[in-house]
Amino acid sequence: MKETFGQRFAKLRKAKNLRQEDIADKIGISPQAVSKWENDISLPDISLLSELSDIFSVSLDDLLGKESTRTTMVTEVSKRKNINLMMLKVSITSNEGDKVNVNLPLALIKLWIDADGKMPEINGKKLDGIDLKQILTLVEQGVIGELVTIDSGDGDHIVITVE
Amino acid sequence: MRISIVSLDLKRPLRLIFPTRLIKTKFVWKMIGKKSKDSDFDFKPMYQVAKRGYKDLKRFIKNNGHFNLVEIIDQEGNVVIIRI
Repeated sequence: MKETFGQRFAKLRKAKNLRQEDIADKIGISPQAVSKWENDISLPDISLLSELSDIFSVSLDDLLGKESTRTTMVTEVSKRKNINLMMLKVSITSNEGDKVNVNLPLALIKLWIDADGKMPEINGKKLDGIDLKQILTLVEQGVIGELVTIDSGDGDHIVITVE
Repeated sequence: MRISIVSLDLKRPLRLIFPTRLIKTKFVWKMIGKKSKDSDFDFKPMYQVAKRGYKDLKRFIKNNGHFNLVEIIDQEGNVVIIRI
């Protein structure tokens, strides 16, 4: 059975040796609210997620239990998904701690390439050096997962994933 | 398209709704063309791409459901989410 948010939250809290009261104090809410999250009665407000992920030192995906394709793999022809239903994810973490995620359906990327479009600038980062055509060719050949990883000189981390 | 802004400066989250179908209207692209600083901006090809893109987007949502196009979380905890 899939782990619920409450179970995952309690596991992360215990791993950090924190009490429900400690979490409540850190983010300025009542311990009862934390208890409700752990018992899957309610969920935290979206504005608290970033703070909670920092407290537990995990990513938002890990906090929310999102299973992502982190590794690169080649899928068999019979198991390949329709490329038009796949998603290209660009994730940028700046050295200042800002996080930007852009999710684009591959169907739109294909249209963009046909119109001679280049990788747009995201969060002030010029990504026009990334060849979208090459990414699309790889995906058509069944390659999915983390396709591009960039660690820039100024400390920014950029990951491009296809799922 | 829903735009949610959660900021410490705001008393409560700000939620804006923008009809996604506007991206396939000529009027919007004409307006973007007029406001654009790029004098070479030609709205016609962009409008054609947007029109086809809207169709693909609708098909994608029908199969995969709605998704977050952009998520921005800054160091101070301000959050901007654009959901389609």
